Amino acid sequence: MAAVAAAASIAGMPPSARARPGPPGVTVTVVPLVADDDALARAEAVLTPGELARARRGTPAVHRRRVLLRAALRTALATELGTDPRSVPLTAGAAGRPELPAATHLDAGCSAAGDLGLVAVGRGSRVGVDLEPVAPWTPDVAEEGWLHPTELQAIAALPPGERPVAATRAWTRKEAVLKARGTGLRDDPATVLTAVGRTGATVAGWTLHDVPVPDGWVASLAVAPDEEIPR
Amino acid sequence: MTLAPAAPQLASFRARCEEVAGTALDAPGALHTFSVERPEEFWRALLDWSGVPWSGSADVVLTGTDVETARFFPDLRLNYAEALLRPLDDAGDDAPALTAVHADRPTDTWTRGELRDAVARTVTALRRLGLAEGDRVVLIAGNTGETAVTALAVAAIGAAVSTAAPDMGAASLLGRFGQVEPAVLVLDRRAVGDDVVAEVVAGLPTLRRVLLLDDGPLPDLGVPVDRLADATADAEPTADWPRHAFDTPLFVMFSSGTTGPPKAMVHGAGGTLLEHVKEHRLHVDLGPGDTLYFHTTTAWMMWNWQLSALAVGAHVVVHDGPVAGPETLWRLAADHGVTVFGTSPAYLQLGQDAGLRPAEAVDLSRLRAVLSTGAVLHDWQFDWVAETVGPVPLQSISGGTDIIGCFVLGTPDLPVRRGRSQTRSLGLDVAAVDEDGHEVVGRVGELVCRRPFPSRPVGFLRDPDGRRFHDAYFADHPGMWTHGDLVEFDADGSSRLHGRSDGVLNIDGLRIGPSEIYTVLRQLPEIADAMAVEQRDDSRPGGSRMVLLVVLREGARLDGDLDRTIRRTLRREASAAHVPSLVVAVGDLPLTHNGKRSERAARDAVNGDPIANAVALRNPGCLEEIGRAVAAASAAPAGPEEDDGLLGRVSRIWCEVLGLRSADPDDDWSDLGGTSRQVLSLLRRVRLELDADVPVQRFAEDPTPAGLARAAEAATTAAPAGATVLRAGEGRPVFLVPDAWGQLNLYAGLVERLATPRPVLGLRLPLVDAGGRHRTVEDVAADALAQVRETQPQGPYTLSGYSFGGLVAYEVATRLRAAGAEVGCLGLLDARPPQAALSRWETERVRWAGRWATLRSGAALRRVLRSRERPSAPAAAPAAPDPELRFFLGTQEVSEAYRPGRFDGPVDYFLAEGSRAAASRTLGAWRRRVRELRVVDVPGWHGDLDDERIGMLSDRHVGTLAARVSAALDRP
Repeated sequence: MAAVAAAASIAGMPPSARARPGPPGVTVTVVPLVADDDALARAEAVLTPGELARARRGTPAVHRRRVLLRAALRTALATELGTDPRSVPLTAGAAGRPELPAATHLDAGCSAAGDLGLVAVGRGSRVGVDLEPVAPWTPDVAEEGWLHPTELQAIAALPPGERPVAATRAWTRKEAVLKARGTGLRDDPATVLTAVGRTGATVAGWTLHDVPVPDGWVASLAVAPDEEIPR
Repeated sequence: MTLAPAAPQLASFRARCEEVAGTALDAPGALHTFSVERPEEFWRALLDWSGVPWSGSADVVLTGTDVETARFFPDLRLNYAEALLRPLDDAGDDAPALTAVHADRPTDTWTRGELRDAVARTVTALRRLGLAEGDRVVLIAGNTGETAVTALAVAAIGAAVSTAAPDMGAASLLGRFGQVEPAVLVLDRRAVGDDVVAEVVAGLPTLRRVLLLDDGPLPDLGVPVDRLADATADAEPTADWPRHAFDTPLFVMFSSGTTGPPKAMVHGAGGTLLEHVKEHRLHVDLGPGDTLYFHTTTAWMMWNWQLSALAVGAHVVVHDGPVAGPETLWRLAADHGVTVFGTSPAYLQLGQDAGLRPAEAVDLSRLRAVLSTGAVLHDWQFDWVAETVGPVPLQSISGGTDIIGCFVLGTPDLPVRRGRSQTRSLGLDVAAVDEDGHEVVGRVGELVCRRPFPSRPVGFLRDPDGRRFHDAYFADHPGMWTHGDLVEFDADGSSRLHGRSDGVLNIDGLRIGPSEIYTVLRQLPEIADAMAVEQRDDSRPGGSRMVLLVVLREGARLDGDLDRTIRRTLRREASAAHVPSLVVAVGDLPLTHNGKRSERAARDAVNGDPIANAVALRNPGCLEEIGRAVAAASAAPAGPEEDDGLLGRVSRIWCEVLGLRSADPDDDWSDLGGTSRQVLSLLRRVRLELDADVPVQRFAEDPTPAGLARAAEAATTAAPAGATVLRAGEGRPVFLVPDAWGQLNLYAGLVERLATPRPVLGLRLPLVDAGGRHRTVEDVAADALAQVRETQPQGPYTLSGYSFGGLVAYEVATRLRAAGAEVGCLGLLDARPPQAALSRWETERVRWAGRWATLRSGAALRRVLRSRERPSAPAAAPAAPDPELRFFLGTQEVSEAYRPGRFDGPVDYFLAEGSRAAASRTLGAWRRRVRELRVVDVPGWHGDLDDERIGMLSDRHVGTLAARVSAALDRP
């Protein structure tokens, strides 16, 4: 079967996802999480029993989202590894963070919001990504405590029409950093102070990128070189 | 602008039928009535009018009247590929035929002449490789031009082709193709993984040959392997298009059944062609000059459907790329001048949800119709298309793989009614019937087709006696094709689909078989019988939820306990998807006269719809009770009862944030669809309504209603006003003073790692007054002192603070000492002394150092401001327009103005490595004021939060800091 191995660099492309140009060493893919029964069954076919069990624990909508997102993540990693999605040595860390063997020099992150998902693959870098639908800006949000006073002031200084996107942007940046660290909400999002109204900033060693996604969503990516991972 | 002829093709065909019928057929519905009542004349007229090439005899149109067995045109012969590729008057050899758009390579195009030539060469090549009439071929490839060429060549030979999308797993592929027993497998490895290839080939013992559409190296698969391109390179185009019997197998398709393996259904060449030509020309008005793009994969019948559009001279666009976002397909339609665009309700909704306005985003001036299928298209989607795409008809079409066509679809001669399919498919005697098979109009019934139609499958594979075929479509209503859909027809012939009729629930897009629910519920002795039905969720347009009707055994009562037991058991034994939104006890479940359970009647009752099949029921009286019981249960206060105590109150908030009706104490937040972002909304509500400040980290440890209730309990009982428990423990508290933002979050890592059994408390201190002005360190410290005293009336006290927090802690400690209390330990975490505390000499040195650093690095003023070891004058504030600096400057100002007094005790000063140089110039200010300054070096920088340098409190360094702070706590 030597010839099969030689052709192993040809990998499957998901039917409904597109890689977007990202920072060097990182590929970000936008994944519509919409599928009919057949497509869902095909996505389930590339998941491990553990992943399927986790998906199955969720409600129907969560189930579908987890299956499609995980399949998309596997497919994106398969492209990098020149293998098929089912063979990707993907595991989950303690807080659910995707993990890959160090020898692959790959790191992965993903996020889903409604019918849209995002998959990030870092080569030689550690990544975190977050996608959120733009939520209305209300005084209640300000009270939730995840925005730093500086951020609150900066958002309040914006024209009202720009506040929802700015607040959602701040959230996605915080989440991207927390997910890149692997701590998730075990770290308080307010401790990640983001630069409202600026792009390309750095937070505690993580370089932040705005990921282009359809109107109505906001997504951010946090990246740091693998050799020196700030936490 | 429209390219469609002024008079639709339907008008010309109607005139033809009027000649045949000898009567006018222009009244509404008259043509459809003619088409089903006089099928021989209708289908013969269509055959002649369409110009499809054939030979033999068309004299016998139909062999009987039974939809299960009647055959069409038994003596007629035709060739599907010839019919698609023949030269047409308005679509000559130079007319565009096929455009293949790719995600990763340039677009391929074929004119009609080029496409015929490519197919003809492929026919020669396939014949040389041994493919013959009657063989079956499976094709695993994306929706590309090569796929179309190959499928047409296989069809031209008289072999059958079965296509599958490349992203299916090997198991699904074998579950389908194993039944096909193919002679040849055609593969595009650009889209299929090699291990899948190997597994599929190994699982198909009938394979004689594998052909590759890609140009990768030839693998060793144990059967002969060729590149199709190599085989066709020197092949002469065939001129031989043999015509085959009408029922010659053309496509093998699969229907995803709810039980057993997928049904492998065989569609004949003649039936497929006639049905498609009819739908394309008469219902879609497709012809030369049109460009069709229907978004599909090769695994769906819409692929076959769009391929056939070549027969009417339309230009077909195929696409193997991804849908990257809501705009993708609209842009593709614009780029290729698509006139008829086919998509799905889900894709349209994606655009609507994203606020897309396609006609503004791209040039859709050539578009004249939008088709949608695959699911129910909702009313509001018609409005959205009208508003944002333009005045083009949105045609909701519906049929299925089983008939490789549509039962209901559009028509060019009627306006579109929002939410409805315009008309019945001509020649198909489609109706909604009740349980007795009587037609119903204006209410929901079972979708049936009562008379023969040409695109009925020829049969199933591996079904020699036709039993599976019979059971699949003809068992429910003898003499009719029962499709398994619920539909409602209006008198005008328009219709609306209402989901599946077979009891399968579709909750938020996930199909759930209720039999699994019933199996699980048998374990519960309280439950005698149950029925799960789908209910429209009025709070979410298009959404639905599951209602479980239970009949209880005598003596049992549906109380909170049993309700929870039902949910927990279903979750454990089945899945979260099987957990109903509402459980309602009823006395009786609807049964038909012959004792069959009628889920449909129950569904009508829970939705408050008229009961479609009341006369067929033995016990229709139970429906009224069901309707009442469900309405009452829905109206009951949502979610858990308040008398459940804290758990009940937590659960109520939990449900409201997630939009759920109920929650199990052990439900996992994310399993229910809760996002991280929503956690913060949840905790804010818990804070406001239950007066319990649950830290987000604490919630993350056990994200369930029970866990949240425990955390809320701990927060309400343990925390005195103003001070919050960061970590529970025994003994005297360790107080942490908030940072310059009034926040305690930055201490999370430290709190976690402190090696002490003592409780760790954080103070909550407002830093600005009602007017938004920063309060002085002294004012803040006064609040802090009160909180400390209230929590711990007697010393010795332990206080610590970072940076600004250190200054406050110092002031509190000074006041405690002044009041005679004992301060056991005062820790300052890199709390640089304020400017007001520095000597003139120290101030000068700091100024020069700061200026020099600024010049050297070229960094902006902001950088200097944030590097707390290099203070700069607050007077610079107006030069910094960035609003995020204002708070810093405010804190900076009050910090620098603070004049620390004398502290009669030892101070542990944790000096960040990065601050050491600056500290050498300023620590004297502390030394002058305290009895003993014990400087403890710790790694990292001071670490202002947006500083890219790694701070002393960061994950990387906080372990060392925690160890050294812990050691200081133990110091006598």
